[in-house]
Order: sequence, then structure tokens, then C-alpha cells
Amino acid sequence: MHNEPLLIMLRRFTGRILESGLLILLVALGVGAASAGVSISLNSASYAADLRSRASYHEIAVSVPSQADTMEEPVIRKPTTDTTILTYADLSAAELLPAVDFAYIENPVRLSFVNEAVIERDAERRAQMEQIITSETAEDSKAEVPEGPPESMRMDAEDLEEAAQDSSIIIARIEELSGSSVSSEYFTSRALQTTFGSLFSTEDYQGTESVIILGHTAAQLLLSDGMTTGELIGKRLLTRTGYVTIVGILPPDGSSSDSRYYAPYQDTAASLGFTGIRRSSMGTVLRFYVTDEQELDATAEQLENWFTSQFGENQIVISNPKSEADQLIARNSSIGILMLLLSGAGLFIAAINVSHMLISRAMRMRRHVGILMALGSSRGSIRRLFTWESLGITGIGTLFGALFAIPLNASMQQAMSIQTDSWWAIALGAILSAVLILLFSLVPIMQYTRIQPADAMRNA
Amino acid sequence: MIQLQAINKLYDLGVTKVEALKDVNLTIERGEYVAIMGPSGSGKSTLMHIIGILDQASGGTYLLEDFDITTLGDKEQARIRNRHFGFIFQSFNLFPELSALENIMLPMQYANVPYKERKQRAVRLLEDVGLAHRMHHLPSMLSGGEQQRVAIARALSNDPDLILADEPTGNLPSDKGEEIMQILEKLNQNGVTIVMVTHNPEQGARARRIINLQDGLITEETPVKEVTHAQ
Repeated sequence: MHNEPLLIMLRRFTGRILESGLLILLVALGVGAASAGVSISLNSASYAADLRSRASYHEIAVSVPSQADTMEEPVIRKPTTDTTILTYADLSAAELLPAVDFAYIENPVRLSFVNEAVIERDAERRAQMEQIITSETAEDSKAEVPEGPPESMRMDAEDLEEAAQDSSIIIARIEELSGSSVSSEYFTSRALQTTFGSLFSTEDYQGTESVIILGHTAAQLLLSDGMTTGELIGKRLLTRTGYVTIVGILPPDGSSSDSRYYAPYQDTAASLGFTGIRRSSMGTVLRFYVTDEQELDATAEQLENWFTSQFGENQIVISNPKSEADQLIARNSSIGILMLLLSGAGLFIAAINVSHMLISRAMRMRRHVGILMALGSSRGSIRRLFTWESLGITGIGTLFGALFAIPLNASMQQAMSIQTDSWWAIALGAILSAVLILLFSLVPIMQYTRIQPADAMRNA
Repeated sequence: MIQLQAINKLYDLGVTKVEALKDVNLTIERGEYVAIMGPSGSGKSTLMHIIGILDQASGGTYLLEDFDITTLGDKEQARIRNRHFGFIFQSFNLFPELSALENIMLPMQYANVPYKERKQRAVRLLEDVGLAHRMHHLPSMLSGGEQQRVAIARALSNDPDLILADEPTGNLPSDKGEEIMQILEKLNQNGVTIVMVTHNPEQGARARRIINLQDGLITEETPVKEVTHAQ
């Protein structure tokens, strides 16, 4: 280093490594806690705004109690859900409620793909099963051999090879894909448009052909080598239940929907037997979209009355996401403010301590200051010298503080169920904290360098 | 070169006020060797600090080359200290973190002398005071006499017009003190103006003029000696 005054500061810094280390630690703790506090507070507010802007915030969900729900109920109050089946027809409740803008039905579905690995595993299982059955048959000649899945649903290596020859068929590398079968209003409520292909047509909802729309990430999973996303449109996927055709691909929206697929909801109540309805209706949810959030609570109550009149008490679960989200937001907001206050207090204490320690260091440098001024340093140069020291300590401390804030913030956000990317909030918190600490460390130095050089040397 | 007119210095100690200098009038010509003497508390160090612009007078006028320097700002005063004055202190006042070489280079940094030139000049000055072999030693590794010689070299680094020495031999044994006095005399012979504060009458007698201070007043100013080593 070709600057002797800075060399003095640097050698003092390294020569008093314990004191310097403590100063850096103090800054790091103050900045770390404060930036985590600022980040949690900002992210809490940002997450609240995000929750309120989501389509799901405006959707009142109507479903049958799940198995888990019924297990928690006392036996005497356990609802008889065997007869409770939600169908597309129940969306007619929306017609009676003026606040409801859209209503749609959603049912969880899953695609099981067929590929080499699946065929191999199936063949292995079949062989094992046949071996077991053969040995049991030998022991008990009356035992009947189970028929297994229908022949039409069995896919073997030959079927796969045949499909592989057809360029319009995609053999997926993944084995399964989760999705939802939805009615057309689903896309309307979310203002969804496809980036490639189109949404479902009226014929698609009538069940003439198996078609699907893919989320953005799901589409990437199904791409073959060298294939572009748009080329997926019109391609057929080989599944255990036959072929499904890709008709559209949605744009990315950053949520879990990206990795799902959508199928047109077809009301199976009329075509299938009782068991079939029961199974397909287990996860069915009716969603009623209310734009005006002020109307959500009243509409939820009206829906509860309507469904109770239709199905009886405790047969239906009405879920109002607004009240759930509002509770979460209120809790997060309180914790966020508390964290901000606590971390602010921590930062304030750290800043005062840093200031005291730097004053103490400067006091011990009093004679140095006097000599430097005698040798030709102006007060401005002395201030710059101490500013460099403060900047160095604050800079290193801030860096460590920010690193400390990242896991602290992540764990706090996880505990508070906040799902927001927060690096910018941590950076903002760290910068604000560093500026505060720098101010605390500079103000006394500014005052201190006003002394006369003779006084500095005489009273040191 | 220097003209002090009715200089006062008042220390406000809260309850009491101490008048360290009372209407001091003093003129120092270029090339002079002046010794300021007097008992402790007489105001001799205060006078030296005011001459060196290390302290400000409470009243009066200070003319340096006929220019009133009390009207100058901090930056200009620092520039004068750096370019025109060299300071030698009783306790050496070297920076313990810097080597002998770096201590001498420091004032040149404020004069914006490039690093290479700073180093060359510092080495030459160390050779002049006979410490070239100790240039990379820290002050703590040098004897008192060596430290004071480094301090003298530092005072000379920007080729000053005036050397202000405050008890330069006060912390040294007599033989080492003599070495320092000889260096100062040699500097004066080379045309450098020297103002030295000392308790020691023998050392004072080696100056060309002695100013006696008593309770902040100049009580006696001995006539200029015959200068045997005048320019």
C-alpha cells in the first residue's frame, strides 16, 4: 500500500485483531438481525399483497369432508358422506348468488405413463405374481387364478415399440403427472390463455377425445431431445389408459400449477355406477369466484345455507380462503412488526456499542491525530482516514451480517409460512443497517477531529 | 520571516482562565537559530505551538512572510505546516506502526510526492542521519537517539524553511543529546531557520538568540550572538 496514513490504520486494525474482530462481530450481529427483521417485515407485507391478489383468495371452496376430517369427528356426529356427491350440477348454486362471478368444478386426476421402465417393472411384477399363484394353485387346486387388469389395458414391449415408431406419439420419460380435471370457468377465473395451442373446446368437455393442457414445467418434462415446446401441440402421450392428446401449453406463473396438467371435467355421474362416482368424487371441489372481497364472507355463509339445505348438516365443508388468509396475514404482520422492533433495538444497541468502541479507538489515536496534523494532514484528511476505518469495519461486518441473515430469514419465513424470494429485502435491510451504523460511528469522529493539533498531542 | 504582534493565549478551564501568553511581540528572521527558554508553565511550548500553527492565538496577529495566517482555513494551514515547517518533539512522536523509512515518507504523502520519489528522498535522509541500515526497523526497535534522528529526518522530508524543536534532547542521554544538537547546528548552517524550546541553558547558549519567557511575557531577549557560522 502506497499510502502511509492508511497503512497506520491498517496495521492498527490487524495489530488489534481481537478488538477489530469484536467490532466486526458486533456489526455483523446488528446488521444480520436487522436485515432479517426488515426482510421478514417486508416479505410479510409482500406476501400478504400476493395472497390477496391470487385468484384462490377470491374462491370459496365447497367439498365433502375428507377422510381425515371425518376421523377427527366424534363417532356420534360422524357424517354419512356415502351419499354426498358433488357434481357439476351443484354449480347452479352460483345462479342464486349475485356476488359470484364464476364457478367451476375441479377434480384431482393423475396420468400414469408407459415407458420401458414401466413395462419392465410390470413384467417383473406379473412374473412374481404368476409364480405365487402357481404355487398356491398347486397346494389348493380349488383356488382361482385372478384375472388381473383387462387385456386392453395391459401394455407390453411390443405396444411400446409400436408407439415408438409413430412420430406423433411421445413416450414420456417420467412415470406420472398430477393434474386436475376442470370445467371451462377455471380458465376464465384465472384469465388463463395458452402460449401454445388452445384451451379446451366444447367438444373436449363432452368427452369425445382425451385431451390435456400442460403447465409450463410439465411441458418441459415431456420434451424429447431437440424438441421445442410448441412442437408438443397435437402430440399424443402413451398412458396406461390409452392415448391423450396435448392441445395447449400454459405460460409459467411461478406456482405449483406449472408442473401440473389439466383435463376437461366430464360429469361421470350419469355414465358410471355408484362405486365409480364415489371414487371420482372424493376430491371434487366446487369453487365459487367472488371478485369483490367484501362479499366473500356473506357469500360463504349463503353457500353454506344452500348446501346444508341440499345435503343436510355436516355433509359439506365450506372453505373461505379469505378468512384463512386474513388470519395468516394478521399473524404474520404482528410477528413482522415485533421482529422489526426487536431487530431495530438490537441494531441500535449494536450501533451505540460500535460507536463507543470506535470513539475509544479514536481516543487512543488522539496523539496520532495531533502528529498527523502537525505533519500536514488537514482535518478533512483525518476524517477521511477514520471514515475508511469505519467503512472497512462496517463493510466487512455487513457482509457477514447479510450471510448470517439469509438462514435466519429463511427459517423465520418458513415458520411463518411466507413463500417469497427475499434476497432483495435482505440486501435492503443490510444497506439500511450499515448506513445507520456508519452514521453512529462517523458523528463522534467528526466532532472529535475538530480539536487543535496541540491539544491532541498535549492531552493524549 | 515570522512576526508575532500582541499575541495572547487564554486557556478557559471552566472555573478559572489561564493567560498563557500576554501580548507577545516577536520577530524571527530567516536563517536564525532562536532558543526559547523559561521555567515550566511560562508559555514557551504554547508560543512554539502558535508559531507552528498547531494552536490558535486568542488574540493578536501572526504574519508569516508578511501574510496573516490566522485568516487561513484549516486546509491552507495544514499545507503551510506540511511544506514550510518541520517539527521535532521531545518524545519523538514517531508512528509505532510504521518503519523508520515509512515515518519519513509520511509527510511527503501529504505533499503529493510520488511514492518512488518519497522513498528515494527518505532513504537519502536516513543516510544523512546515519540510519540507512535501520530503515525497515520499527521505532520500538530503535534507541532514543536513533528515534530522534529519524524524527529529524522526517522533519526535513519536505525541505522546510523552519524547524520547530520542542525540547529535542529532553528524553536523551547527554552524548546522544549532543549528537542532535550538532545536527541542528549543521541544519542552521545550511540556512534552515530553527526555533528550539529548551530548559537546558547550555543548549540555549548555542543558539544565536535566546528569548526568555516568564508567566507568558517575554522578560528578556539576549542580543544576537556573533555568528561564527553565518552564511
